[in-house]
Amino acid sequence: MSFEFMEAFKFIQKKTIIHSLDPRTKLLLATIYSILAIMFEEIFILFFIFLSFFPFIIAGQLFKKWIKSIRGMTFLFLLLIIFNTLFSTFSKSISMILRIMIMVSSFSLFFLTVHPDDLMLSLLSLKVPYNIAFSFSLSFRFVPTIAIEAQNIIDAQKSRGYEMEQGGLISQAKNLIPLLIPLIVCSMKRAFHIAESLDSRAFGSTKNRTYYYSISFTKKDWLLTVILIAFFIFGIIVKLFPDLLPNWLFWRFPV
Amino acid sequence: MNLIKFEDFSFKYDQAQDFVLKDIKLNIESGKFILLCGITGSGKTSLVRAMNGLIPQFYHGEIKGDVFVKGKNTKNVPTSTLSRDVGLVFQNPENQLIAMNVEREIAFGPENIGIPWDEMDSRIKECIKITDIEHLRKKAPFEISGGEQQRVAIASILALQPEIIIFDEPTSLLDPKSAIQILNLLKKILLEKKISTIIVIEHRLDIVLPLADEVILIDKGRIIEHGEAHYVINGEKFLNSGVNIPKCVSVFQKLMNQNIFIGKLPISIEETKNLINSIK
Repeated sequence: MSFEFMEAFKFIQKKTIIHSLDPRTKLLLATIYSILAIMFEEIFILFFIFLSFFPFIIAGQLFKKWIKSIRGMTFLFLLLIIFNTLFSTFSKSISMILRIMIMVSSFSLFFLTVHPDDLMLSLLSLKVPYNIAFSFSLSFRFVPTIAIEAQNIIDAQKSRGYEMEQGGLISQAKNLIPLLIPLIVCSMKRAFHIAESLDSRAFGSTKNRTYYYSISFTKKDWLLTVILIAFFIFGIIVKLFPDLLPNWLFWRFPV
Repeated sequence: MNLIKFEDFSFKYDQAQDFVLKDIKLNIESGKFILLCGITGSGKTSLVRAMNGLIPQFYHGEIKGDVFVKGKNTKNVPTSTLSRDVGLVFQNPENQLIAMNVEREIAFGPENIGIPWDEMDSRIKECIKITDIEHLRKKAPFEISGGEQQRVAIASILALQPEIIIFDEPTSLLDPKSAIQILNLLKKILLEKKISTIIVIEHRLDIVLPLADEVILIDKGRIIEHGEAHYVINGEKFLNSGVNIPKCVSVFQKLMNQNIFIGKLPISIEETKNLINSIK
């Protein structure tokens, strides 16, 4: 089993303009693009929305990672094409794929460029209670640890003659049991140890917690926020008054 | 002054058959480097859990007697509050590091108790300096080695400035060289910082015995010997306890059994050297 798809959501420290943006701006970016993607179903419009997202990927130096995450979803795309074409139209399946690509791209941009600890700070600034924001960032911290643990368990089971990729779909699913049970038990034990160590480090001992790091909106953030909102309003106007756009934008496949 | 006081304390975990700690009477005084030893399953970890309130607050069970930390009963004061007095460093550093970089990791404790930014900053700098991890400051916990992780875990406890720090087998996952470095770091902390007492659970007695002022020997949940290091090492109970007896002690012990040597057993290489020189 590979964890390649997870790579698309793993933060890596880089010095680019996208990385230096405030996490809230990037959250707004991801949200607006996702809403726009849901709002439209015309292939060309979705395609242009998708194209307009490209500069962000390039500016964040994320092209390779992004390709990886899109490649990881090939199977899903195939399923979408087959089912949508069978039960609906081919055009619908293409617009569905574009939609998913926009949503995945925009959220993977968010997770790839926001430090998990900053993520917590931005949640706090959105008035999310500290305990919830903290457990959110904690779960990110332990993704690589659990992945290593899973790999160790796979190796240990393989060395005792366990074969994971054998047989049909059902027996492959059954094959996961010797992997999942130890993994869940280990994770629960680990969670216990983590809780113990949090308690020993004064977690929750006072309501007036202080913060070593802080996040702040800069000029770049305000500028991008204004552009994004303008873009969003433009999207809504186009949705409400489709006559404003040339006809060819509404073209669909004949099937 | 008594920092921690056990008054006839006994404890049995929920769903366990036997008491894991039995009639513990113990006074921990300030200014000491205390070694806690005993074989696996003797109750060492449970004893230290009782020192910062994890027993009975995190681990529930049947309790007799009381434990006081600087006069506060551990039954009534939450562990998160007690953690300002007693810091606990666990065996596996991986499970203690919860932030995505070292600096934030060290800041976590002071943040929790609401320390203002300026003081937090100076505490972080000080802890980074004393544990010698300046080069790791911006690294993620999974990018650094086990020894380095343990240093970070120690720094993160130091930042809370507790009076007592307890180390539960801090070197068990490390190679011998890193283990020596970590244990020397502990002594350095005791000498340089205002930490008044260090308690260490450790199996590598070779390295840690020369550092210890006091030794507590525990077996089957009871403290069977407690006193100055030479006193405990020279006692019958220590030699029969099944702990990993240091080479210098065991060699002179054998000589003693054959009536070749009479006197106090040496507990460090230095003492052994002096002893051999004096025989010449």
